Amino acid sequence: MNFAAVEREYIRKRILPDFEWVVCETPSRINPLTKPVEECRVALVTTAGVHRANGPAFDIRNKTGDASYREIPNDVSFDDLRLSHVGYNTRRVSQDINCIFPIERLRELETEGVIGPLNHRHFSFMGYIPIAEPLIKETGPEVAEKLKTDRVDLVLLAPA
Amino acid sequence: MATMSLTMVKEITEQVKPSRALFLEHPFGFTFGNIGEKGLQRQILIDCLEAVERIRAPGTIEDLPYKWTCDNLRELQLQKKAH
Repeated sequence: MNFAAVEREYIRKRILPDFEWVVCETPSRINPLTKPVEECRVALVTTAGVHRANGPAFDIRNKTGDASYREIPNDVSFDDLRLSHVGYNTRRVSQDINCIFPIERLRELETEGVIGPLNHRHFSFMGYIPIAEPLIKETGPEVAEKLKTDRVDLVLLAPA
Repeated sequence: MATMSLTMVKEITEQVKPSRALFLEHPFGFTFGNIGEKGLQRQILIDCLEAVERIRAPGTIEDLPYKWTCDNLRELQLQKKAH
């Protein structure tokens, strides 16, 4: 089953009649690791709609999506995390947010020395963004610049 | 800055063409495994770390071997019949 086709038709019929997926002509360049994994500063970027309990949720009522992002401090309390997303059962996944934002697993890997230091912040988008231009031109580059400023060596990009 | 992507919809990733990606057939919301499945959550992260060192060709998408067997949620989601 081609989900891309199913989703395309779903969005075209209900929201954006001319919706089409973004297609890149060539692959992104591979940047090799410049140091062993066990020395790398690691950050997680997710599209799971993760945010803090006292922070703004993503706008899941907007049928044209939400291209904003949230910074998730690395030392955030697990109980402080919330999920807002239209594409999966957030109530069920909230029972164990590591299913989609494995911050506790990453902390364990850091403690064990499998990876280097976790970055002081991670980032979350909410993956329903049918109008991609704000993500491509604004919020995506903003997050990339922040990761560069933080001197992150390795970014794990995880979908919802 | 190196990046390592996970994907659960291969045909979309084939159009976006990230530098490197791992594909797994999990339902949306359960990228790293099921509730309480600490071992698999950890293993998928380990797989990402190993792949980022191994994959050299831009645009490579490799399949992870894990199967979601506890229910048919993924199939229902792909048909837009479940959340």
